[in-house]
Amino acid sequence: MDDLLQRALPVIHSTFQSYYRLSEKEAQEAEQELAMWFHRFSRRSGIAQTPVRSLTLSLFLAACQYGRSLQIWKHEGGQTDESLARALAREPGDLASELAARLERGT
Amino acid sequence: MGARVLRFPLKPISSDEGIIAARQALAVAREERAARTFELRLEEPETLLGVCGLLRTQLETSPDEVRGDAEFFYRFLELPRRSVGVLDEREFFLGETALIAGTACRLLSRREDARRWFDRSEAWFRHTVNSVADWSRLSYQRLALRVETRDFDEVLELVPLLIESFEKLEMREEALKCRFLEGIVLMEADQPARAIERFRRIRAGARSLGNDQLLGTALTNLVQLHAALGEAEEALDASRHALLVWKRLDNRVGVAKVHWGVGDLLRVKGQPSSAIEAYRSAQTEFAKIGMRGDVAALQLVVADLLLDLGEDEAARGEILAALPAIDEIQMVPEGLAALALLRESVRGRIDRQALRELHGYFDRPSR
Repeated sequence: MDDLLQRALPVIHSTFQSYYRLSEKEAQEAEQELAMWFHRFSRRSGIAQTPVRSLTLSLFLAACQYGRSLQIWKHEGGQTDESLARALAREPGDLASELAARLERGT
Repeated sequence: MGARVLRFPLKPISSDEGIIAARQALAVAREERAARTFELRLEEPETLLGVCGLLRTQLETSPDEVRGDAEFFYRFLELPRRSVGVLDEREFFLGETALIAGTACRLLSRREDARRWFDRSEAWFRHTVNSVADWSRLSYQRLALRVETRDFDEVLELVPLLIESFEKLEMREEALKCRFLEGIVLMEADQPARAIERFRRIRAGARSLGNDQLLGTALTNLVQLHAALGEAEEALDASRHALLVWKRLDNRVGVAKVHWGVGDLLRVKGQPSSAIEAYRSAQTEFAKIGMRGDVAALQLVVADLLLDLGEDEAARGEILAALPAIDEIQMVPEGLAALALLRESVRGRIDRQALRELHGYFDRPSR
């Protein structure tokens, strides 16, 4: 679990900053919360037998949902530039699959 | 100037502390818990994770207690809306406590309540990160409920789909549990040879996964199947192994079901008095756990044996004692006709056919 988290965190950090445009401080706080969530998530019923590949996808999905929700909440009712609007319009599951594939290729 | 009490955020607790907090929370009477939310750390996800784990392990031992506690935590999380953990954690705990409450209701033969809890669980699991796996676990419980209501055709149609879903998710234990349902349907459909073959494979699978719960359940069903066929050696061998597993797990339902199987064997072997003794041990265990449906089913089985022994009055007593519990649990429609016939006959000459049909409609195999 720790190993997966260590390998995934740089990808998550870069997604938070460059894709969802979180500040450095926001990204760090989000990563801390996400790490705690993931440790609890891995102890849920039925998860113990889940293969690493599925866990990776769940971790990235949670990260994308987190980043997206935070940015939507920050810009509620306000204007966003075109590229951020595109990022927020994209399904988190879609992006998560892409990130999981990228991590797999990297290892 | 008015004073305002500020609640400072507490330092998150570790997983070990969460289990201790969960034990403490469950030890406090339900009606006092909510008032001690802060002290008992009830909103901590680690505490809730510990609570769910503890309740799951107690499902087979104290289903009525588990039902009450799972309902308490569900209501606690539902209203007022509480901020629990991050991301999907509140939704997960609502879905999970509803699933546990529904499973407990299923074990207690409260089928309508079980259905309602499963619907609630589904609604919350819709929002979890791992919703496919969560839904699949819920679907298993729904199918198990369908076995109990004897919707065998539907079970046989849906089980392969669920197995496929678990195999895609690489959840091998859950897939194996689904194969149980197939085995149970074969048992109920009076195909003992195919059912034995199925449970032997499940036994091997459970051993290779190191899953004692599944192993004990497979062995218990093998006891019942061999007993029904009068295969004493095989039945007793399976019962010895099953009892070892259940005692190790402190699983009283398992122990009771093995005694039931031994009773069946003694009955088939023409030893009614010893059979009644074995059934009584099973009954005592079920009564302690609050499984009224099983207690009532055994009362009918014992009544049938007492009639064989010519003890009509004692048999009548057993039937009259079983009827209130049968009225309370949700009997399948086919069983209602047999129940009506039995009720009508109980004051005069007892309708053996109705009696046998009726105890056939109760939950029997282990799952």
